[in-house]
This record gives sequence, structure tokens and C-alpha cells, in this order.
Amino acid sequence: MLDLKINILIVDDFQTMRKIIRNALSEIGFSNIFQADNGLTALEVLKNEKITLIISDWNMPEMSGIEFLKAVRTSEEWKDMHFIMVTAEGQKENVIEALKNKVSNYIVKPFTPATLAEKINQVFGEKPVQK
Amino acid sequence: MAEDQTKLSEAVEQLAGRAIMAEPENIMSLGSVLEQLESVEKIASETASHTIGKLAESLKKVVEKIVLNELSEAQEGLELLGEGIKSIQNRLETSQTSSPLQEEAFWTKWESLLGEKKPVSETVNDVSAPEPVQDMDLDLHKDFISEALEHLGTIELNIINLEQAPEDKECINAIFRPFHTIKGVSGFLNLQDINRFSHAIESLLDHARNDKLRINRDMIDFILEAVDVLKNMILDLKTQVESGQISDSRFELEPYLDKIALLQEVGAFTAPSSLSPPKAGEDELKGPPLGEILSSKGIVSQADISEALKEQKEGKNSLRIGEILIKENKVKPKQILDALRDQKTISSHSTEATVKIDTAKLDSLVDLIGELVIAETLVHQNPVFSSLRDQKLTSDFSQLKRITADLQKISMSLRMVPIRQTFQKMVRLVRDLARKSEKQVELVMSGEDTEIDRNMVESLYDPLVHMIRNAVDHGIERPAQRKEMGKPETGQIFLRAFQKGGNVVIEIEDDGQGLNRVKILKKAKERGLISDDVSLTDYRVDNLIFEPGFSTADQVTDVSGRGVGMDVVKKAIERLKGKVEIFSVDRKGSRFVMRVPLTLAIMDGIIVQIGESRYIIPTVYIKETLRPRPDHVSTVQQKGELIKVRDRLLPLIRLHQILGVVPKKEQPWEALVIVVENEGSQRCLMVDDLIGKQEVVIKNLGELKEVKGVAGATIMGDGRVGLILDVHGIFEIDQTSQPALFS
Repeated sequence: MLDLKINILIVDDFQTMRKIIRNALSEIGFSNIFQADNGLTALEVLKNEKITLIISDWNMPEMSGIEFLKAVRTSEEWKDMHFIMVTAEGQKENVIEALKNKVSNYIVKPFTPATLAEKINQVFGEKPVQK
Repeated sequence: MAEDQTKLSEAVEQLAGRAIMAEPENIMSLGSVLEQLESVEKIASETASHTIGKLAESLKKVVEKIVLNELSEAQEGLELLGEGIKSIQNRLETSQTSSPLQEEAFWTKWESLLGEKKPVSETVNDVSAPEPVQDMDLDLHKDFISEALEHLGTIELNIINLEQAPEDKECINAIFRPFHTIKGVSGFLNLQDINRFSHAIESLLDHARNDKLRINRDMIDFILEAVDVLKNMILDLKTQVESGQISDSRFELEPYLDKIALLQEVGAFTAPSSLSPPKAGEDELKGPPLGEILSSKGIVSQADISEALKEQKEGKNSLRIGEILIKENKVKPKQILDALRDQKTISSHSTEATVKIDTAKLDSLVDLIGELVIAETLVHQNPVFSSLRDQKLTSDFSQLKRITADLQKISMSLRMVPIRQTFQKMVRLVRDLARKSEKQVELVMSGEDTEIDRNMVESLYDPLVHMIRNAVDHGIERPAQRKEMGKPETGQIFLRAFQKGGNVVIEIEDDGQGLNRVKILKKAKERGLISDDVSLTDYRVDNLIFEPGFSTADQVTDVSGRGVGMDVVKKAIERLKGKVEIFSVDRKGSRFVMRVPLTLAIMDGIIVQIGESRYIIPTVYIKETLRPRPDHVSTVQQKGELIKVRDRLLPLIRLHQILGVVPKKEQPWEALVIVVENEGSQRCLMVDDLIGKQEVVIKNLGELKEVKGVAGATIMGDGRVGLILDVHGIFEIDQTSQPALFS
């Protein structure tokens, strides 16, 4: 079973969007949510909190989703971080590029909480997570 | 060879390993398979194992489809992956496959699986069914409304920036993002109208971001309009939320969506007279301040302006007047935009009162003033006059001289008209030409205020038309071809005018395919214009198109006609005592540069003495003057005399020979040599002496019509007639009399 107490970081420059994802996550049962409005501020959060999963949007100012993913994957401390990229409909090249940069999974918006749960399950696999 | 094979088989083994671990839901496992497939593909191409490379490439497509959820059965895709890897392994043993049947089976399955059109996209889910509104949702709607309105506000400010700097990608991005985000969130909240509309605008801006669509004034106006529509939709949503109900589809979106689709196809907004980016070096004419324009239009009161100015001074963040006024809601962004445009127009031409004048009268006036200048010089140079030492007389005469000079300047300007009218005619021409040849072309003009002698206007029209026809017909490619080349589908023709030195320069530049040098060379050799073994610089080849009878058009278009070549253009310009040349860059475009003197009447020249006669050489051709050292003069068999000028050897032309006069000095090192340049080549003209520099009034030769080598005549200060030399003609005379290789 997935540990519902893990720390999840949501990254999106639109506050309403972050709220939507947070609501979806709390519907699934997650309650430890952190937020950032772009890649740069997200990196700051990573330094200060022990994050287990990142859900990031693609299109952001200052540091975009893909740049953030690259930064995470090339860092020492977070290179194995679970990372889900949020993309918009019809952006196949973005998905492939994220894939090439070792993204854990992707999800297309708009999505329902059920879809989000499925994607998260896929990321963590069948392996049980220590509490 | 052997170690290449080992590298390859190791890579394939890794691939097989990763493929076994792959699961359709495990994106990372699929990603790592994809990575390994690319590796195999790369090694295969390095070792020239083409079939393996092809197999790997096709397997990449399979994995991508699995990731994007485009296969109805992901498991089938994985099986296919396994089959493909088997084929690769078979190929590894020998360069032939050890199992042709298996490989064929793989390809058949691949084709059928990938040819299937069963995209299973992520988006559907439950979004289509309108959901009952809950409290939590209403909160989200409220957040969305306030954030969206804020973002739309920033778009308005950024639009104004964009109009001033249409190439600024950051600006376009800043406008693109809010639309993208609004689209995203509205999708979640099932706000279909807002979603559809913002999606359409977003893709329009995406095209602009990727240079597939040009940003011009019409487009900017349209974006502002779209922002208004979107604002209204969101405000409407606001009232609905406040009343507790959400219903759908209350807006007529179709006309907008249709227009957007159409515009994306066309590739550019209509109206060819677009914003031309400011040319570096042009004077920055400010025009009246923005506040003044706004208050004169009655949009804001003087009090508002002074308040805004005060705030600007005290403000921490440097906002401009326009931004402050928008923030205070005193004006609408569209009003600011219009005011900025007015400011631009006002500064570029002053409102004048005008009168109509009979041109014959004007011409006589100008002529007479020219004679006045000459008469005055005659008096001044009279030896009797210069011997008079009366102070009052001298100072009175200086005054007379000053007034005459001013008169001359004004009379010159009387004859000048802005080139705008001629340019304006080109707009319609370009539009018609483009339509007929099924191309998309935009005309960008600058320097329409540049003035030219009114007598030249007529004569310039035909050459201009011709060069523009050339640009549209042979320069700009068809939209499909341009797309292939990575260029925007709409080609651009730049029409520029400016003054430089004593000339008016007119440039016609296109971003088309440039000249076909191979074809030109071939044609030139066919026509015997150049000998087979001569090698020419690119510049020389390009400018061959000005030779008579030269037309490489393959088909007769009714637009260009055939046989009316560029030589007609060249002659016309030379009749105006100007020059024309072309510069071209393969696949990037071509540029015609036309130079004509500011006025036909007066010219800047150097007076030289040869023997007993005096001649005038136009300053525009002169590069430098020198007295060569004896050891810098050489005679080469069949090439004539050459002078060493710095590190170059230039041919010498003995002007006294051409002009048929007896010179005072026989040898170049006793005489003076003037280096002149015409159409890219330089020569040395030998003269006895340099008398001085003077502005001369050109008179034509009357009865003598056209004499080669002589451009006209003038009456010099001492009352004698001086011939004005035509450098181009002199070169030609010299060339024909010395048939040896002038390349």
C-alpha cells in the first residue's frame, strides 16, 4: 500500500491550478502538500523539506517544467526523485522530451482524481513503501 | 570491425534486458528502453548496419505509441517490441538475417499495429458531463475568476510593449502563457466556452512564437479584441457564480474561431503595411507627449494627466504614463495604443499648408537661381574685382554670396518631394503580383519621407516596378517551398529609401531564394558575355543580370513578360546619373541597391587640369588621389600600365589620350593620379593637376546629345566651360581600346 503520509510538492505558476491538484490529492488521501510557483522556488522547497513526489506543470516562467526536471535529475540529492509531469492535450513532443529526461510518469490535463491516483500508483509500483 | 560488432551486440543485449523489464504502466521502464533504442540506432549507423538501424528506429515509434497510450492494446506493443529485438539479434549473427520469415512477420505486424487509428487519448474521462456545482467547486471558480482577470490585465500591458517591439520573443511568451493557463484550468472546471476560445487564441500565439505567423498591427488589435471577449466571458461567469448556478454556452464563438482558423492557414494577417522595426540611426522624432494626445482627444482630463505624472515621479517601479493611467482605470488599453500610433504618425510628418505650383514655373525659377550662382561667381573671380580693397564692398559682397547660397538651397528643396507616393503605389502592386503568382508576400517600407528630385519621380517608377516584380516572381518562393526551407510562409520585401552622401539610396530587399548563379553563368557563357575559363567573384556573377538580353526566366509569365531584362532598368537609372547593383545570398535573399543623385541639377565635383583644359570629375566616384612613385608604375604586356596603390595593382587610364588633349606631364610620377571606382572595379585616372573642389550646376550638352565619356558641362568660375566626365563611359572607352583581359 502506498504511504499516504509522504510529502508531495506541486509546482505550477497558476494558484488556482495548484489548488485543483491539491484538492485531487486530498481526495485520494494525501495531506502533506507543498507548493511552488516555478522551478526555481521549487528547488528551494526541495532543499528545506524531504519531498517524495513532485508533480510539476510544463509551462512556467523563470524555470520551466522540463528545465526543473533536468535540474532534479542531474543533482546529487534528488536524482532518483519521483517526478510526474503535467502536460496539456496534444503535446506529444513534450511527453517524449520528458521521457528522454527520465520522467517517472506524465498526466494530461484536465484529469480526474482517479486518473491521478492511477498515475501515482504506476510510479510507485507494487513495492510497499515504509511508513 | 570486430570491436564495432562487439559494441553493437553489447548494446543489443542491454536493449533486450531492458525490454524484458518494461511494463506499459511503468513509464520509466519504457523511457529507459527508448534511450537504449536510440543508443543502438546510433551505433548501428556508425557501423553501417543499416537494417538494424531501421529496425531500431521503427521500434522507437512503437515504444512512443505505448507511452502516449495510442495503442488499443499496450501488451501487443510490448510483444511487437520483443519480436523486433529478435529480428535485430538475428541480423547480428551475419549481415543477412538468419530468419527472413520472422523478420517479414515482424514488419507486417508493425505496419498493421502502427497503421491502426485507435488513439486512446487521456483527456476524455468525466469532463464532458456537466457536473453539479459543489461548494468547493464554487471556491475554485472564484479563485479562477480573480486570477484569470489579473492575467488578462498583464496581457494588455504586454501587448503595448509588443507593438513597439514585435520581434521580442519574451514579450510573445508573456502573452502566450496566460492564455495557456486559462485554457488549462477552464478545462478542469468544465467551462467549455472559455476553454475553446482560449485554446484557439493560444494556438494562434504559439504559431507566432514559432515564427509561423507574423505579428503586425492587425494581429495586435485582434488579440486585444480577444482579450475583451474573454474578459466578458469571465465576468459573465462571475455573475453566474454569485447567483449559485452555472450554465453553459451562452456566447457566439463561431465567428471568432473561424477567423482564427483562417488566419493560421494564411500565415499572416492581411494589410501589408505592417510595423517596420525602427532603423538604427534614424533620428528619434518624439512627437507630442502621450498625455497631450490623450487629453486633446478628450479621453482624460488635464488633472488626470498631472496626477499620473506626479505618481510616475514618486513611483518606486518605473511605470510609464500609459501604464499608470491603465492601472487607475482612466483609460482603456486600446486608447493608449491608438494614442501611441498617433504620436508616431504626428512625429513623422509635420502638418503643413501647401500650395500648388505650375512645375514649368518652378523649373524656370530653379534654373534662374542656378544662373544667379554662376553669375555671382563670375563677378567674384573677376581680377578687377579682387584687386579692389574696399572693405565695405567686400563685406557687402559676402552678404550677397550668403543670400545666393540660401536661395540655392531653398530652390533645390522646392524640387524635392518625398518618395512616399511612389512607394505607396508599390503596395497595390505587390498585393496583385502575390495573388497572381499564388505566393504570400508582405511589403515593408521605411524611409518614405526621403526626398527626391521631382523630375526623377516619373523615371524611377518603372525601374522600381521592375525590381519588385523580379523579387516577387523570381525571389520569393511559394509558401510550400518556404515552409520546407524553414522560412515563414509569407515572404517579405523591404523597400527602403535614405540619403547618403549626395545621393538618394533606394533598396529593395527580399528574403527569397537569392540568385541562381549556376544558371546565370551558363546563360552568360551561352551569350558569349564571358569566356569559359574566366572565374568571377559572386558579385560579378550576380550583376551579370544587368547585361542586355539577359533573362533566365523559364516561363513567360504575363506578369514579368520575357526579354524585358534588368538592362532596361540599369539604363533608366544611368540616365538619371545613378547606379544600380545587386547583392545576393543563396537561399537567404537578394538586395537591389539603387543610387541616384539628390538632384539632377547640381553636383559635387573635383576640377582637374589636363593640358590647357579643365574637366570636372564627380566626387561620388573618387576614392583617393596620389602621386605615384616611379617604382610603383609598371607596364605589363597586353595589360597596359598599372599603378601600385597600397597593396593593389590598378590599371592606369591616360585621360589625355581619351580626351584628345596634349598633357603638360607625360609620366604618372610627375602627374597626379585619381583613383576612381565604378561598379565594383577601380582604375587610376591620370591628370596634370588638381584645381579644386566645387559644386557645379550641370548643364546638358544641348545639341550634342549623348557623348560617351562626358556627362554634361558646366560654366566654371572663370567663365569658361568645363566638361563633366562620365566615369562609367571612360572605363568603357578604355576597355574597348585595350581588349586585353579586364576581368
